[in-house]
Amino acid sequence: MRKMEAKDIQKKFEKFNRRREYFIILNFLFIAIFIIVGISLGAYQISFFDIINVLFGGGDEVSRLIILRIRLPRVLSAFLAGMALALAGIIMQTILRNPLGSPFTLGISQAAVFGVAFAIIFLGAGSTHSQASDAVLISNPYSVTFFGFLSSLSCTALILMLIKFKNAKPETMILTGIILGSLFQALTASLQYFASDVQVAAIIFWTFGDLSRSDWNDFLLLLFIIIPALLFFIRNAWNYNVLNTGDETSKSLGINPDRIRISGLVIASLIVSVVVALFGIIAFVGLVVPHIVRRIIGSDERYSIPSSALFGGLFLLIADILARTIISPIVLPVGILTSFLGAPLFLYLLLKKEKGGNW
Amino acid sequence: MILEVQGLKFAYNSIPILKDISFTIKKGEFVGIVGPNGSGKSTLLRNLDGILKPHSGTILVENINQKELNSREIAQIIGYVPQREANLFPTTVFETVLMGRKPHITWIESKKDKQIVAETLERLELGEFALRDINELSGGERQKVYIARALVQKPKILLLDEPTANLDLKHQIEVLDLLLETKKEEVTIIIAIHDLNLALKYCDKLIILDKGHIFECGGIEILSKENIEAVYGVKVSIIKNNERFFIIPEESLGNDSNLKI
Repeated sequence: MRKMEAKDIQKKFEKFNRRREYFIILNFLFIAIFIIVGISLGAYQISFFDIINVLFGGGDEVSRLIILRIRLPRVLSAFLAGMALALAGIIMQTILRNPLGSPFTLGISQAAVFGVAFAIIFLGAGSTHSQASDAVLISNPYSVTFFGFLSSLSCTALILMLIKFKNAKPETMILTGIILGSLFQALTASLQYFASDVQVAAIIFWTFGDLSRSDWNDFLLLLFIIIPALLFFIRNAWNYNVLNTGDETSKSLGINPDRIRISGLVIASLIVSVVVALFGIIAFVGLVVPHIVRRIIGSDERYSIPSSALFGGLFLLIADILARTIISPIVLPVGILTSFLGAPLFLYLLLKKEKGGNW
Repeated sequence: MILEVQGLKFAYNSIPILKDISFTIKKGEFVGIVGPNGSGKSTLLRNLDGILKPHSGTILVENINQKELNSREIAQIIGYVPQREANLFPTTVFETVLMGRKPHITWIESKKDKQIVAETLERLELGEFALRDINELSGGERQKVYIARALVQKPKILLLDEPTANLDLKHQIEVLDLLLETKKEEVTIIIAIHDLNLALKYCDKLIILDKGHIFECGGIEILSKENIEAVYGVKVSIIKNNERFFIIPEESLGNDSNLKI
């Protein structure tokens, strides 16, 4: 057997990690490019130089208004929302040891929708006034988010109990997630039964997953919740790595698997709830992005967590640009687009696994 | 005494597995835990490492009650090598071994941590696998990776759950020789092992478990014809060759019900 020296082994590993760092840098580069593209494209085209002008305080009145009031908050919110969903996805997959885990497949998004709809209809946390895409005006995003969070926590708790007491297999977990998802959809439907026609239409429209409502307040709310969550997850990356080896080894390496699982899932549910409360359901981002990232840079969570966050942001940024331009001047809700993109990818992953491939 | 166990009891869902276990182990001993399937060998190891919590009794690790140590502190003293584990997501060998530094890492691994891992991989001749996915390795190579992970933990006590099960002859010897070498660094080794002849070759001290009790505890001479027949229900002959003893199974003594052809 060829024997390698320690120095070379270490060098090989560091070179391997440098490739992952390049991936992260590449992400930043593309994010910058697509933020500019996202600002420039739309019903009213803005040139690159106008954008630079406006961002540095110049530019004409119309460009200023469109960029600072509409495009910039939308583009940045898209980025943060994608980041949140991808983060929630990779955390759920890692700590549930389940490659099919995501806010949507575990029913957590649907649960959050129920909580939000409940807050809007019964608690007057929002008002509904027409059937247009801006039909639901959420007057208090904080209380709406809070109820979404509460409701998604109940779903999370059920899934946690399933692992703790029944030692559920990944497939069982996803089946339960689907069942819980339909249960919460039924609950939302029964809320709608008691709501007025306009409210019903509005809530259905709102669940499509649309970023056109985003403004600076949404952006700030997202920012203040997602950045701490991201730091928390990166801080715990080592714990998640160890958890991947199973509970027995985790404990022998000095980690409490239950505590790591609960804290991770609660925070993941929180960031999903914020996104759902603000924009509705945007499916498949949380499922597909972590898979793509793992395929490119591997499963070391110290790299795959920040990479998934960045790549998720980029993914939704691009998806939203497509949604705005693909059948322009009609603007599609981005949730519809991600479902069209995500469903075939999900199917592909499943079929590949059936053949005995690696996740 | 590096390890002192007093009146240890443990039950899974009120089915008692370990019933009143007491023994002591000195620093630097190579201890084999033997006994038939279901006698409680793995459960005992997991209790020693705190993966399972004993229902009663005390475990003193370096004269400190194990209950007073948190799991991170235990991990700094005791390393554990499971029989097998299932990684869901592909992980490289280097990363897997680096996890052994976890009990010593607070925020991010240092150059020194990576250096320790690289040196251990070199020593175990695993260097060429460093960036391979651990799930792609053979059983013997994987076992060596798990041992490497426990070694970089720099433990004073190393627990191994049947490290030679499912390995071919060469890997069995390689793995046990590696442990013997580790023992020279004053590490106390405790292994659960099925192969009695390997236990005779490598261990200084044996604990024979039978249905959750300690049947006998002592030097390798306790693996006598009578003891083996009593615990395993198998008739054996023991032969001596080059100052070493070999156990040769002859026939099952059977229960009343089975093995009557």
